[in-house]
Amino acid sequence: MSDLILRAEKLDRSFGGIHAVAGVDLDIRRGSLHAVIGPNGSGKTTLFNLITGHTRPGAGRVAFDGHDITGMPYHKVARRGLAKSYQITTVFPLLTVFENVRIAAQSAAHSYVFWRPADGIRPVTAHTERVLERIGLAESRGVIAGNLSHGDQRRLDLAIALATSPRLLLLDEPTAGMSPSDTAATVELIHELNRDVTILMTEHKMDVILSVADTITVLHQGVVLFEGGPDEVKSHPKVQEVYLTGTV
Amino acid sequence: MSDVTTDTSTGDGSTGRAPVTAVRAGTAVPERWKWGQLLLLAGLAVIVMFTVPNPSLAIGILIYGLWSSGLNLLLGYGGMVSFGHALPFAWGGYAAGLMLLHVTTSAWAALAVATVSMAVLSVGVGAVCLRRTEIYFSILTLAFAQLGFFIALQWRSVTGGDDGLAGIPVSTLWLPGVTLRLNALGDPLLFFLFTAAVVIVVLAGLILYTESPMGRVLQAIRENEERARGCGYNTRVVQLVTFVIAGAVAGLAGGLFAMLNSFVGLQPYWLLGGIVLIMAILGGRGSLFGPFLGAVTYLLLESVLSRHFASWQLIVGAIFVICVLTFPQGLWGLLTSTAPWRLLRRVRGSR
Ligand SMILES: Nc1ncnc2c1ncn2[C@@H]1O[C@H](COP(=O)(O)OP(=O)(O)OP(=O)(O)O)[C@@H](O)[C@H]1O
Ligand SMILES: [Mg+2]
Repeated sequence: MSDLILRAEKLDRSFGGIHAVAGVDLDIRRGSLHAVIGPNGSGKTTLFNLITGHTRPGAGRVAFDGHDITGMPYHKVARRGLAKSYQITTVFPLLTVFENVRIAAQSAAHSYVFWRPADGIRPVTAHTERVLERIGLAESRGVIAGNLSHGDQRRLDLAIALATSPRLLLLDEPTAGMSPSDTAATVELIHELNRDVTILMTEHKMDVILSVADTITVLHQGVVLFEGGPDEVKSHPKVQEVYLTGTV
Repeated sequence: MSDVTTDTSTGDGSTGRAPVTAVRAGTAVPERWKWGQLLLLAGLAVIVMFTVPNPSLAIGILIYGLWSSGLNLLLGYGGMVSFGHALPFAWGGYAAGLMLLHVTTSAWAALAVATVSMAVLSVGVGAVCLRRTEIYFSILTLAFAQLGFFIALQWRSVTGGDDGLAGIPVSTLWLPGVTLRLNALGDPLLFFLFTAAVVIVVLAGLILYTESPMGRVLQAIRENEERARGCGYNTRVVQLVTFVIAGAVAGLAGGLFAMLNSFVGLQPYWLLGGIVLIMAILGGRGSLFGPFLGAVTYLLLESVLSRHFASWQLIVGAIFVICVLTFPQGLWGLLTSTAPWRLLRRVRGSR
């Protein structure tokens, strides 16, 4: 088994005149907590979408766990163990918190079963309970997801991704719009999750990134500017320049 | 507009709502009752049997209800609005009628052919319609229904064209030990009981589907297709299966309707695509039993009003508009949010 869980080579994508991602190489080590940072519009979300098969790459290829997943439909990529939590909170608003997570939890073994009630499948409900406990949403299991607070919806978004038992978890700004206390709790949670699952995340809050990530890739105008550990990134002059002035 | 949404969240009322994904106004989540809906339907059938004086109307209520309930699988559970649900109903009618006229008088055979052939046809129709979403999906379903209508009109040698297929013989019902004749005019009670039994069995199947893992995914797709795909589901497959089930149920209902009237034709079969939608919306999208309430209400209104007013459709239309504006969750939502057992539970809960 290779040391790399994900390998993206020369990924490229333009929208009209905008070269959103321009020949990006990205290697993710198994078990790592890898962060992609960069100013607004630097191509982080697009890069994620290219990896998940959400957006078709103009060029380049993506290998997940040794298998080529370039251009594979999104649901098949997800089924292989690559889950994503969204920058704009994406849950099932009219379903209960429990059902939101249960839907994800049943996908592994009982996707297309139609001959028995879903609520009677014990392994799935047990798994759902475990995920809710872990994320800290067990108390709200009966609440309609659309009625949750913003912070709780972000957490539910994460819970759904986690419930599919992924091997690689993509988090697009998991603490976006969260209060400082919610942010701290989420950072702790991400740290804890990383013991079982490889995580690739983006984030704007530098303190969050520096405290959780072991590897950081700096993206700027669709190009990788630098890659290294937190301390290297912190002291790298080019990175500071981009973050302070927005130009190279 | 009534704020029913607060009723559905249990406990933890302190959390503020996120503006972006806050529950859409007016689309609260009514209780669903799951298997309890079977009891409600049985109860409704008994009430209809004893109170509706016109047997053909009483049987019609069950058939329209079944058709509309199947449509609600698409509409309420799947969030897919079909404007063309007259097609499977009419197809089922023609299929059953042709079977009874030319092949066999067996009720089982006629209904089986109506249902299965429509299921097969739905695979093709659904595969095309589901290439698009939202209003484009709806328009495609309508286009297929129009296509079917013109074929039925033109292909006189098979469909009878304008005149339709008249004189469909009384069907025979083979049961273990007995052979019965399903004569809607001669023995309406037997016909009613047979229809009620079929409808209850099918409703049980539909409830099982909506409570099964796959049926639950359907509801998740309605809420957020993108996220459902992210959970690893091939959302098109789930939608197609649902489309086929709804088509098969409509085919079965059309077959029953042909047996009830001993007639299939352009009128009324092809003209009911809008009315079955009204029944589903009026009854409530949140459950499978709701459309039966919609069917009862619509058909009783029609039968009463049409006796006294030439332009009764105007009144029904106005009532429909008022209903949609004042209780978008339909009669089912209205009943479940105001019903006495609900108040009782709240009193008990506060103790
Ligand atoms: N679907 C699209 N159509 C057109 N342009 C797009 C599309 N998606 C992204 N872009 C453009 O590509 C560039 C990169 O966008 P992207 O969303 O990947 O940036 P980002 O790093 O995620 O930004 P942020 O930090 O604001 O989330 C931007 O200029 C954006 O306007
Ligand atoms: Mg982004």
